[in-house]
Amino acid sequence: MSGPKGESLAESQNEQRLSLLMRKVQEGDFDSYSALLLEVQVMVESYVKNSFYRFRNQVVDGHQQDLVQDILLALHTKRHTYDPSQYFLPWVYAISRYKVIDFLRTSKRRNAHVELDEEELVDHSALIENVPATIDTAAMLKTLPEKQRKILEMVKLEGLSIAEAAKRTGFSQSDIKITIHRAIKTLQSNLKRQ
Amino acid sequence: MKNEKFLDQLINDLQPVKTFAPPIQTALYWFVIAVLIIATLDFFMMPLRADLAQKLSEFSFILQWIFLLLISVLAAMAVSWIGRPGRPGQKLLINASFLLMGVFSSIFAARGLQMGAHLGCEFGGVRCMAAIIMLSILPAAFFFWQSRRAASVYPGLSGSLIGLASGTIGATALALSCDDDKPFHLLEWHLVFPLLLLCVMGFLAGRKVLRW
Repeated sequence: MSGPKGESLAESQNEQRLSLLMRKVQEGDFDSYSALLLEVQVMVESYVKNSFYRFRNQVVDGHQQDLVQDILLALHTKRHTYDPSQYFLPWVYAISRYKVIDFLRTSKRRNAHVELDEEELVDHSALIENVPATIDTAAMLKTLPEKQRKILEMVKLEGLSIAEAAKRTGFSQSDIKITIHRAIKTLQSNLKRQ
Repeated sequence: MKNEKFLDQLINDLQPVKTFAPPIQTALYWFVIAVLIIATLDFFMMPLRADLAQKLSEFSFILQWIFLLLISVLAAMAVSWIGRPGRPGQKLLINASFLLMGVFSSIFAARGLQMGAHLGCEFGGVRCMAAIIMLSILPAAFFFWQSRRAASVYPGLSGSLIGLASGTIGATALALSCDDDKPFHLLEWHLVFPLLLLCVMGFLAGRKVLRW
């Protein structure tokens, strides 16, 4: 362990105490679990906060609490994997690290969807609204493939939400979003050609 | 959900748990079962090579077996170690498994080059590869099932190592049936291609099955 000698000793004592609590938790001791969770929660929160700080461009702060709870749940469900003969803190941090990485991967994918929803669709919607009145909207829509036309009509003309359109057509919500995106792209290029 | 309420739920859900067996025990348990499964499949599915008695008296043949089984045990241990978060020695075992595999393959490559042999595609080779994959699937599935209860912090890597551990036992068993001892045949069709394929398949399966 690094740091001054006194600090190392304190860390070591903390480690031993937590390890002892965890052993009791594995035996089903409620009081030990309550005490352990309160301490571990603080550690996990701090770990998540630091991780979020490092990856601040990729995640939304509102998810911090969800992730902390997710890690605590993982520690709970995988508590049998803690070996009492080993250190406790590396076990906690290894699980926390795994969950943070998993969360960042998932949120990266989610962010990709957000970009599609909020940036692409809004921009294209504005473009459609600014189309001169002389253009025959119905004729333009007819140039689209059946699926794209139907979904675009539902969401942009009838005013259904993505979820409602997904329910009505039986497609997934992401499929609906992608189809709208493609439909608008097609309309945009058709307009440019005209 | 509020944190206090969440913690209360966790505490109320607490039950005594049986701690995991030591990783070495889990790895060896799987290894014994896997050897039994593969030996049984090999016995019923493939005829033994005609020169087996003579081969068993050759030191290089036995050494080849020992090497492959050692890789399998190391890979199985690495999987068990990875399944216990924070346990020291994980990287050492992972590196040792792949490094030993690399060294073993290099020996065959060197022997092949020394003999002036050529790499090539042969029907018999494809059959050997398919046989190793077939033999390895059942023990690999068993290992995946066994590892589901663990908490692998590298699910994809665990899957690859499961593929390597199973594949090397499969390759050991196939040496009892395939009488083609040309170094490049062994290198290509008993080691590199089937093990690479099993590692890739294991990686993909691991990311799905071992994620928690």
